[in-house]
Formats: sequence, C-alpha cells, structure tokens
Amino acid sequence: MAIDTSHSTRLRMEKEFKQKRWLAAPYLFLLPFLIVFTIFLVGPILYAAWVSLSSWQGGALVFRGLFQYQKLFSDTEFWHALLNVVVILVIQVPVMLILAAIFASLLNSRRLKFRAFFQLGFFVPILIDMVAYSLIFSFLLEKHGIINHILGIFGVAPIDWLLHPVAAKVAIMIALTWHWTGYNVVILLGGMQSIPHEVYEASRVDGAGSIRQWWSITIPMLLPILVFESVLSTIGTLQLFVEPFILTSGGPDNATMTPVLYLYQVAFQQFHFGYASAVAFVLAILIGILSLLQFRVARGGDAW
Amino acid sequence: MIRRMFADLFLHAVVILGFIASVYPIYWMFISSTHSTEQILSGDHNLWIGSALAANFQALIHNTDVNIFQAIGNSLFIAVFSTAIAVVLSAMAGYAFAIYRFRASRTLFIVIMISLMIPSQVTLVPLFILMSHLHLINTWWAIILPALVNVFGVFLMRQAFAGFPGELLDAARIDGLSEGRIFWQIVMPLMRPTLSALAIIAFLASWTNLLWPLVVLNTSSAYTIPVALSTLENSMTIPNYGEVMLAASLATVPMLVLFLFLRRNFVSGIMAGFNR
Repeated sequence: MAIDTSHSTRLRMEKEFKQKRWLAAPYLFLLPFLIVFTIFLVGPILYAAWVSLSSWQGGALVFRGLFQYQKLFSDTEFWHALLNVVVILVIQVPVMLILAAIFASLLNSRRLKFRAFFQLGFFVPILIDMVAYSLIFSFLLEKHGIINHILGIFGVAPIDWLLHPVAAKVAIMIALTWHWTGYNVVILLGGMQSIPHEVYEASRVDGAGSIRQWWSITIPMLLPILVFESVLSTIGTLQLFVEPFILTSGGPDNATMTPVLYLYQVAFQQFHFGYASAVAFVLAILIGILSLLQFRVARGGDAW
Repeated sequence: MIRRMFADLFLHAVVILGFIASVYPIYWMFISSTHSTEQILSGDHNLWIGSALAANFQALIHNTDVNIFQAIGNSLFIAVFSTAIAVVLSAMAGYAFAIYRFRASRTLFIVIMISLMIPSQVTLVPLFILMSHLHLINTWWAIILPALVNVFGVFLMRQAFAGFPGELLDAARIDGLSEGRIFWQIVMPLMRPTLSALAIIAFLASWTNLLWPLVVLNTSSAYTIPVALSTLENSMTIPNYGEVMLAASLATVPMLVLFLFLRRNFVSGIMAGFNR
C-alpha cells in the first residue's frame, strides 16, 4: 500500500515535470511561423481592410467609410470583368471536368497498352509555367497557327482568335482546359484506385456492361471528387490573371478583362490603392463563400 | 470478339488523341525554338528540328531588355530558399498544433484556417506598401519574405502529424531527449514523404508566380522567370518567335528535370494539395 502511494506520487511528479518541460515547447515551435504569419499575412490583411475604407489625400490615409465600396457598386467595368470570368467558368469548368472524367476512365482501363506512358503525357501540361504556356498558345492561336489549320480541315474559315470578343473568351477557355485537364485527370485516377474492384466484379455478374458500370459505379463514386474539383476550379477561375494578361491584355473591348487583371491595373498602373483594396475584398468575399461551400462538401463526402 | 477489338481500337484512338493534344503544345515550343520567325509563321507546321537554334540563342544572349539566364538563376534561388524555410516553418507549426495541448491552440488554429480562405490578391497593395517602407522593392527579399508564410503547409503538416505514434515520442522523452531534438532527429526524418510533397507544391507555386513579382520587380536584373518571359515579347519591336520559344523552353527544362527525378513525389504532392 505504502509502496503503491509512493509509486503513484512519483508518477505524478514525473508527469508534472514532463508537462512543465513541455510548457514552452509548443510556443517555441510556433513562434517562427507566427512571426512571419503576423507580419506578412495578418497585418497586411487588416491594413488592406483599413485602406479599403479610406482614401489617400495629400499623402495621408483619410477614413471614408464605405465610399470605395459604393463606388465599386456602380463601377460597370468591374461587374463586366466579373461577368467575364463567370461566363468563362460556367462553360469551361464543366467541359474540362467531363473531359477529365472520360480520360481518367480510359487511362485507368486495363485494356489500354502503355498506360503509364499515356498517363505521363496527360501530366506534362501541369509542369509548364503559366506564362510560357500562354505564350505558346498566343502562337498556336495565330491566324496561320495550328488551331486554325485543324479547323480548316473541317472547312472552318480562319478565326482571329484574339481580336474578336467571343473568340477571345473561347481562346482563354481552350488554354485553360489544356493546362488543367491533366491535373484533374491525375486526381481522378487517384480516386479510381480507391474504388474496390469487387464492386465491378459484382456488377458484371449482374450483367452490367462497361458503359453501364461507368455511369452507375465509377461516376457516383467519383462524385465527391468532381464536386470538389469544380469548386477549386471555380475559385481558380475567379482569380484568373496570367492567361488574359499575356494573351489579350483583357481585350478586345474588355471581353477578357478579369477582376484580378482589373485590380492590377487599378492598383499598379493608376495607383488607386484604396479602390483596389475594395476590389480585392469583394473578390475575397465571393471566394470565401465558395471556400466555405468547399469545406462543407468535403465534410459531407466520405471519400477522404 | 470483333466488337471487343473495335472497342479496344476506339479506346486507344481516343487516348492517343488526348495524349497528342496534351503534349503537342510543349513539343511545338521545343521545336519552334530551333526555327526562325519566318519558318514559324510560314504556316507549313514544320514538326522537326530546324536550323535556327544557334541564331535564336545568340539573339537571347544579346537581348539587352531581358536576361533569361539570370532570370532562371533568380527564380531558382528564390524558389529553393523560400521553399526550404517555408517547409520548416510549416512543419514546426503543424507539429505544435498536432502534438501539444496548449492555451489558445484552438483559437490560433482557427485564425490560421480563416486566413487560408482569403485570396492572395488582398495582400498585394499592403505588401507593396510594406516592401517600399522596408526598401525591399526590386530585391529577392520582397518575394521571399511573403512566401515564407505557407498556411496550407501548416494545415497539411498538422494532418500528417496527427497520425504520428505518440509512444515513439514518449520513448524518446524517457531516454532524456529534449523536445527540440525529438523533433529534428526523430520526427522530421520520418515525415520525409509529406515534407517533399509540400516542398514540391511550394516550389511550383514560387516558380510560376507572376503577379507579385511583376508588382515588386522593375529592373530586368532582378526578374524571375515568369516576369522575364512576360516582358520578353513586349520588349521586341519585331517579334522573334523562335527566341521567345527558346526562352520558354529554357524556363521549362528545370521543372521537367525536377519532375523526372521526383515523379512519385509530384503526384503525391498534387494529391496532397488537393485533399485539403
């Protein structure tokens, strides 16, 4: 009994000692990150909020309340830019995801020869810098470029891709689809590996063909990933910048102007910092809503 | 039997078509870097190596507006340096959140997660003002310092450490190792797969970042690859397509080399970046 007590006291003392020793450790591990986090992220975000509620007058920030946001509300150029990316994403994201789902299924097929090699090919576009690929597409989309050449085979007259408002939007969609389809294929392939093979075997016993299997097993099983991908792509497209910056500079006639390109011009070509910050926050709110949605979807799906 | 053969044929045909569409633009970039502008514009879609590589190379070397070789060096230094530190900081913070219980840990973690939802464009203006005050405009530091904050990395590392066997830590403590040594000598080496996945995500993000470097760099000697490429075409009075494509090719090669060496990590990096 006596031994027991002393043993438990010793254990308690050891525990207390350990806890004391641990007391400082988490803070020390956190400190370096927290320093840069505060200086280069939290501080700037708060400052941006303050700047968006002010305007520069004679070199000093003067509080103006919601003035910048009111201005933004009636700024047709901003809403036009937002509408542009919405049009682009409403068309491009579904097309890309359908392509990705089809190609991922084909690349996963056991009957495909040189599977690893083909999968590699679909992966390659991810590795290329966005400016580099935009430059490539600016040439491929030339009047005498390969894309018009291929269309010519089907009797389509050459298109001035980057000079026509509708064609310029389509050109950006083509470029985006080329760059990101492979990325989505890679993720879908990962998801397919986690579908148990027995499910397919069981359905084959029940007499389901490959297309039936694809539609009623593969796609439903991948649905959480597809929803997730569509939210990520939507957020990415709302922040579209590099492709229109290189390919069209937002033209022709603002047909490919995007919110971020607009923000860049307002902030760093016209130096209206307050107004640019308001643009950034409106964008942030839109993206924040989508991110929340994404987290909810992620929690709803049980694929992870 | 014949139906099956047709199905196989169709399967391969579609995959090959998609494969060509994926690879062709990159192949074209490399091929065009060996052609002159006239050859590229002639519209006969030459698909084999041309004879103008040396000339394009000369043009690139003598280009006074953009020094692509220096830009590659700048980008490499910035990407390697900022990635290495960002990964270590994220790992340390993620470790603190996953392993220890401490005051305000929940609140802090929620604050960090909220900041993950805020798009980077919000901080463009304030960071620009901050960097001007610190006199860091046109320096590598202007790009490196904000890149040290990898919020997603903290999240990823916390998830990874959450499954770390606590008995291993306790055993090390009984052996008298300090908390710091446990982290560096026992925990970190075991986390190599997650660390390299995170490093690849951070490296790719740094290598392809255009907007922020475009804002803070305005002398060509400080340019990173994306900024150099984006100014190259604009700086030409007579566009030299071969030269532009050669520059783009040179900018792509380091990424391809990295991929060849770390293929497995790339895929897991992309999956990690996705499964948040």
